Amino acid sequence: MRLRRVKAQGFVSRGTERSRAPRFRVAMPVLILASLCLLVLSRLDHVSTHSMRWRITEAMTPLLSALFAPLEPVRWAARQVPGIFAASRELEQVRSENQKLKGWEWRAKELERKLQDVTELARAVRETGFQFVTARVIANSSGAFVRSAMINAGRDQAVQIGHPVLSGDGIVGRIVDTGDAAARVLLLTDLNSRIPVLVGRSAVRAVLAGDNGAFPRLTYLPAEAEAVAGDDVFTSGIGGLFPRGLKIGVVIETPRGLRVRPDSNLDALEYVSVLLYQSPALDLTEVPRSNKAAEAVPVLKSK
Amino acid sequence: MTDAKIASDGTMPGLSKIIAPVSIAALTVLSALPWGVAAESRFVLPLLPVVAIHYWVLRDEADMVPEWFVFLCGLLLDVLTNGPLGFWSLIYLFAFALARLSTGWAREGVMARWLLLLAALALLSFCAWIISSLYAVDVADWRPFAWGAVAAGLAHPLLALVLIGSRSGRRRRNNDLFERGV
Repeated sequence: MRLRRVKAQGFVSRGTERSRAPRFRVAMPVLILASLCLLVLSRLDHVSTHSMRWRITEAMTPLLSALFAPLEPVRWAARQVPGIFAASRELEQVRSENQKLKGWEWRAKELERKLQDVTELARAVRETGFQFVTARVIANSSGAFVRSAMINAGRDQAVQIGHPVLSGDGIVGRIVDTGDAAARVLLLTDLNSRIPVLVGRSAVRAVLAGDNGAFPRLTYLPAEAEAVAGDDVFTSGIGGLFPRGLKIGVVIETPRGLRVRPDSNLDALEYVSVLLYQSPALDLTEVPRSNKAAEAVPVLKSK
Repeated sequence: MTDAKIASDGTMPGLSKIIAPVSIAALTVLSALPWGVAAESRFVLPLLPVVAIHYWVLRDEADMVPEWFVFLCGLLLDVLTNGPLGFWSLIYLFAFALARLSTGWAREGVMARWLLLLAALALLSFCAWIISSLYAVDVADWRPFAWGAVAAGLAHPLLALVLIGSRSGRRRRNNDLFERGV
């Protein structure tokens, strides 16, 4: 027994529909051509793609922010899955780190006391505390091209291009694009990220270069440098884009040479702090700044 | 059981007409959200709308998912993920075209549809890898693309269940229009 469907003109069997050839409208080649044109314009970094991107991004920001509340249980579950597998390994790591930290604690106290003495002797002026804005990560890059995140703070909150971005564990990246209510953070693992750093106790200078992988590499490391796995990596402040001394991660040994494991989990960022650091380097470059940003009265928290 | 013409005849309730585009748009936006998974594992997320596009087009519901809509979804994902504009638009349009070309085989059953999807995902991931490499003028790592295709293929049954659930109300209505023939 076969099923047939009632139609206005009578009964039509399934065989008739199966033989129907796929129809493509004129729109298909036009849209493919449009996609290719957009790809070329993006490759050329055309200004029109930039403005279009930000218009759409800002329009979508309220929706993305609103989606967090109902999706939070799912996101929480997604975050737990890798954590379960890594828990036992992390426990061992934490135990060994705890042992090391006990030794460092004593040493840090000793150094703090010495530093206080030296500061008093030199009558050095303490660095003023930075101000920062805390924002939520509302979108992430997915794909081969970029490692970036979008946050729900922009020019209205005095966020500007070049400002360093930190999580609770260390530096995450820097602001590369701003809208009124959103900004784009270039993560330190991105192919275009270059951060001058100091490596290890001897404070060897190098440049931390992202390659879209999980662990950025150390470039311009002097051949005679004594950098080994386990050395801490900090921003050097050279170039002026980042203040000196922000923690980035630790050196690890990989088959592809020395790499840096960031202290921040860049794949699971939720809240980040944008350091409102007025870099002297920004004054030397032609970074577009709107008057609105300059006039903005941000709600800031002092450290 | 085919319910193709019923969809295009306009006998469906108005709400069910937007299920297909809404599901694709929702998956597109969800792909851009930070889920806390590793960057390499996130390659699967933009392929989830591909699964939905394939699912709806194979059920002869391409009229409800026009090409321009697929293009816009891809463009939206490019904007939200800060990728090059046009990349996911192109991939989604290819997915749409592949699904349209394979509608003839799709009525062989669930397994046939799944195999068609796996073939489409493999081809699309290869295209994505080629375009990525050309765009970056460097050979991109193929493993995340392969992982994304495999994971999206495995996610298909789960996603199909959700999409079937969204169609169940309409199917009941369609069944009223069937009658047993000779």
